[in-house]
Amino acid sequence: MRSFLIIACGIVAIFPVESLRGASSPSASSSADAEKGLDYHEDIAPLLRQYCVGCHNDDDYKGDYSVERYIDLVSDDLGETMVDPGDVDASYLMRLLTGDADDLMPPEDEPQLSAKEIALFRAWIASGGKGPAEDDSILSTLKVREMAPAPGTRPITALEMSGDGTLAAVGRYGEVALASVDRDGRMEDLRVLGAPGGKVNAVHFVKGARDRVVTAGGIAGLKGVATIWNVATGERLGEFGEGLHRDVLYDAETDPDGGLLATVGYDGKLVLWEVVTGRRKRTIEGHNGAIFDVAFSPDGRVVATASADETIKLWEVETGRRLDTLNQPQGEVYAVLFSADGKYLFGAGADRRIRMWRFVSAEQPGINPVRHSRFAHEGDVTALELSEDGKWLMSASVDGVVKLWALPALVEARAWAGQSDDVTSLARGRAGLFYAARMDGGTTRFETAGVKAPAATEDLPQGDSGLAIGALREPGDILLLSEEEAGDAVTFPARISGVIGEEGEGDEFLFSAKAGEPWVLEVKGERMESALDSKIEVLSEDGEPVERVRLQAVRDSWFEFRGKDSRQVNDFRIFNWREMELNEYLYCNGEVVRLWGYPRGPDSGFLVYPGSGTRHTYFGTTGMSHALGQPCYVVRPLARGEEARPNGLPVFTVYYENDDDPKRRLGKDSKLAFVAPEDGRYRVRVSDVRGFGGADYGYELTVRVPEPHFSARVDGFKAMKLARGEAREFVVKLERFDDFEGAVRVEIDGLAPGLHVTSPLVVEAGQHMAMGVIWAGKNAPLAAGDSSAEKPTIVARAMVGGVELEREVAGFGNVEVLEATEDPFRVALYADGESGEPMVSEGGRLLELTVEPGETVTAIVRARRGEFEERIEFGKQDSGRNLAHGLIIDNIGLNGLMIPVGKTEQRFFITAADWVPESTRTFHLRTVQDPKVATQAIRLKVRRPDDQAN
Amino acid sequence: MEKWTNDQYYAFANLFSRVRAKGWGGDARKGDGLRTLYVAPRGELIQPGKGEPQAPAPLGGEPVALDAPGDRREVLADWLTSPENEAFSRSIANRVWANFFGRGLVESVDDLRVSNPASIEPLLEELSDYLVAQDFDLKALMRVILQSETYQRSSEALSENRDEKGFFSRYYPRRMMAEVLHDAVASITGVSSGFTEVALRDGSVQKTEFYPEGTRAMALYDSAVKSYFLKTFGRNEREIACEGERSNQPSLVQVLHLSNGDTVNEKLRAEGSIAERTALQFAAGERKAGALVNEAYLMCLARYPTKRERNELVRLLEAAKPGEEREVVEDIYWALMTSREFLFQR
Repeated sequence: MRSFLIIACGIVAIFPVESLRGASSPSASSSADAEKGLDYHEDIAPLLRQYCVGCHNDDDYKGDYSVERYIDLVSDDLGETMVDPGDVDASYLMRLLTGDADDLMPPEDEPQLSAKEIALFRAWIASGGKGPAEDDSILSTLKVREMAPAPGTRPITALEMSGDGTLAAVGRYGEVALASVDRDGRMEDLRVLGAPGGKVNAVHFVKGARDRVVTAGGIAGLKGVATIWNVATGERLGEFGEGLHRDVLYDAETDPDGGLLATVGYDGKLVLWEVVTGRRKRTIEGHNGAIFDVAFSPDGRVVATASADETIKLWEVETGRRLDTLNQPQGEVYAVLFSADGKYLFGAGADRRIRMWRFVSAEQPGINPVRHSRFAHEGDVTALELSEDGKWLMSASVDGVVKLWALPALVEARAWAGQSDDVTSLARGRAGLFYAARMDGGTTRFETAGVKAPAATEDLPQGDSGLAIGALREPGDILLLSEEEAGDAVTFPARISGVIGEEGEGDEFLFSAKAGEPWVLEVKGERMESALDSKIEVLSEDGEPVERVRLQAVRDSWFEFRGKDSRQVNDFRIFNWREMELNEYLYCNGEVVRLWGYPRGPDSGFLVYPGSGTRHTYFGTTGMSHALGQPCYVVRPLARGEEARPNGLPVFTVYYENDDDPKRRLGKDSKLAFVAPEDGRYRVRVSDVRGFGGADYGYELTVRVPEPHFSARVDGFKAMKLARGEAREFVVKLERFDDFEGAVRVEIDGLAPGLHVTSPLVVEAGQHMAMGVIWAGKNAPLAAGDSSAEKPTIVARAMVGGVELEREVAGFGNVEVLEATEDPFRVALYADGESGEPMVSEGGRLLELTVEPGETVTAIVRARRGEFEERIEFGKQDSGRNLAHGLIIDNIGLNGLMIPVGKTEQRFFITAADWVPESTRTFHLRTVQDPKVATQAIRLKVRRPDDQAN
Repeated sequence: MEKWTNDQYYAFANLFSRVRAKGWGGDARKGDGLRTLYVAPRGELIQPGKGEPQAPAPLGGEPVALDAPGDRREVLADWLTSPENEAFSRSIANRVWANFFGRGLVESVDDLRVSNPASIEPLLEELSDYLVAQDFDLKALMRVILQSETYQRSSEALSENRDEKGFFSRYYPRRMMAEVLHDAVASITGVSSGFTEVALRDGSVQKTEFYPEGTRAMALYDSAVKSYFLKTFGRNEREIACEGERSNQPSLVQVLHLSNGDTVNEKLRAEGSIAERTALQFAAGERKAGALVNEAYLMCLARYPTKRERNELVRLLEAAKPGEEREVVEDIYWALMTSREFLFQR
């Protein structure tokens, strides 16, 4: 694609010839004409084109009849003499036209020939029904009125530089020209290389060559032609497409060897040609619209097409099979290209966004994940080009702006506004130069030298509280006050008892705070059976809301399928979710949530934090109900004072206010973490969110120093019976307080001999759970639970503000070891592949499985069924146990991971998102139905390949 | 097709952007249905493609400043019923008109848009202006309509206006709507229906004591109240916000239900029905056959029988054997209430 924009001005009015004739010779059907003999091309072909050839052509071949060529028109293959030269009555065609035959042509509901036009046919046949000298298809020529182009401008519709940057090929209407490029990059016209008929929508040097140029173009509605030119002589080395492409071509590119040529155009076909022989290798159809651009992968094995059907498709050159459809774009796609290293794919078009995909489906059909999707321009993006070193991407748009993007982060580095007309083409020159060619015939040169890549700001923001925890502060004594005692000014920490006595009332308390000073504000209302649905705010001294953070939307979306209540964590079905990443914040009508787990399969949605239970909210926002169709946005918190980068999406300001505790532990009661933005006096305001009030609307407001900490407990068993050789799961659940987000390490000691347990377990930073297994060795001493003298000890430790915090973990009961039954039910993990060895050896040695970020590994779960015959279920979204955040069990169906009835094993997939940091954790599976057993744990490592190690 | 732009659409929607809810998510199949509604002091609906909100404005009304305090819905409510809001007065006038004529000047009545004009635009304009002038007094509007020559026209078609369907050159006959028909039958027979069950969406049925004996179908406020009759005759199910949901389509089931179903027949057979009362009076000689037939016609058709009708029915009544009078009376009422003259407004 280079100059699709010309479509708009390229539609030439087509007039039936007779109307032109009619102007010059009013008596078209006079006997004079009949005498001098009617001309097939002048008189008959226009009628055939207007009334017949739409159905009766070589492609559609309706009724096994084509009128494209004279020889077919007059053939009697159908068993009727269509045209009997000289004998009107014997010509079946005349009977069809007049309805004297059984059939009427054109069919009744189609436009009919006038009597005059039928008379023309009659006269032509009567005068001998002669054919043309050259029996070309009547679709290969158009009779159009000559229209003089507007004087002055000669739009450049395509531009490319030779690999060494010294020679430019310039496409204009009806010509391809050469220009020299001097050392400083200035272009100077050399000569016209050739004159392909019609438009030149693309021009490229044959890959790896300076001596050959390929052009793509043709005539709209008629034909598409690609031509290869000898640069030195202007000789046409080959022509491709005529007769196959029935409409104009938008692009033609050679593969890296220069041996294959790919042509695409308005007809939606991709055709591959052998350059040397001119033979067609393959026609690939699959798009539902015009194809604007085509690109080969650097190894030449895959070709990508960008289409008006709002997709990019990837095709295997050798077989023609489709490898993937990139369906994220929401408008026509005008440009597609591969990075030079073949790792990425870029596309852009009418949805104003540039997308960058990781290219993984080189060998097999597969899903190529979106790496970035950036709102790029205020208008359609018309062209993309990459720098030679692969560090920059250039984009041009009808908004008149040309932009430079730093790779691989795809962050805007520079924008040049004010292009005087639409840019049709971008070209890479030498030494970091880029060129933009325009419809007004001009070009502009851009330099990348000196442009600095901005720091990638897309790093996932950590934490939301803004509570600079730093060193822990002394909590201090909390002063107990009544509303009246607190009066208008109060010193914190304090607890104030009050009543919202009137409708619409708000109780305000003035206090002083130093910049950066954190406070936690809590209202107790519902918990003491008050009718209050409290809301808490921190206002400036003069009553204005205080800004907490600004959130810039980076992706827009909406709720699909159904609405959400204000508590649930699951089933966030939101439009375009594939372009979203875990840990991103989602702003929904004033509430901010955070994405925790990917949708699994077509009938599900995101899980949001904390992943189970009641959903958490961020930046002090409040859980709310969301309607079906309501807009929502992935947002990025802006640093204080940071300029929002214009992207066509809104910036939301969040103020210090809360209605319901973001961690959802306090019901309808409010909780707010406040950090004073500057030294000054502030107001705390307590009110009812609905504006209610009355004698029974009492509350207690506590303002205290933050005390970041945690508590942990074990879920899974109080007292457990464990057969020898059997494993069971236990779950460590963590509650985090006052924005403590760090990792917690849990160690278990003092188990009876013969019992094994996965220890230590780590609850990752920001997460709320870890799972382990406990299993009894084959020879574990049989022991009754209650007689076990020693109880195991479980301790959880974490660093909080530079101090190690230690917590006893409750909930771990006694374990009674039993004799195993004769044929016990067991599940175990095995390595996939040749060796197929069990992942946990007899001695309890843990085998390892390693996965790279962005990759998938496989393993096998095998069951010894014993007497258990039903389907063995391992859970759905939660089937992977103790996986690091960002790892999932992949490719599971609606029923989750399971071993079907009658089977004893199942291969499964573990996929790591490409941002997942390196880690080492234990991993296991467990059954969700009785008998609830677990596999023994293995060690699962996330490791980056060496060359990408951080 | 409508004249409203995307900007106006989002300006209108932004009137509701600060309405927030906690609790239930609105899914009929899930949750307790309880939500706390409140109005937030801030918040805008962003117009997609523009990245910013439109100042909230009723359709065709003046926009409110984005930072204006107060509940924006009050602005909408004020505008909705304001005399300047033609959309409201036209819509109401059209609906009242449609109520009496079975067809709106704009049809369907909930399809008001520039590309669906009134069949007689000056008339609708006049009605709308009159409604405003009368300070939205619906009775005043009804009076004008009912006193009009147009309303009082015959439904007899002439050869010239047989196919005419939108200009009210004659009255267009129409079947009484489900509730009215039901209440007419109940009122004539003197036997009311008990509305004691509510059909829930999941298919289950719940007892209700909300509606006392004698409640008229018109007075039911809930379309979930179980009634085979109302369902058959196309009661508005109120599942979607569209007037087209009510069906006035005739069906074979309706015919069969009237003739053989349990609504008309059971009510006539019921204890204390008009059939029982008048048959007893007739048998006891307290009432003459002619008077009984007269009453039946007046009750059902609001007219006296013709001489032929009267003679025929009197003959039948008088031929009844002792003890069979009631059956004949029931038959008379049944015949009248299943007649087209009864079922249709003409």
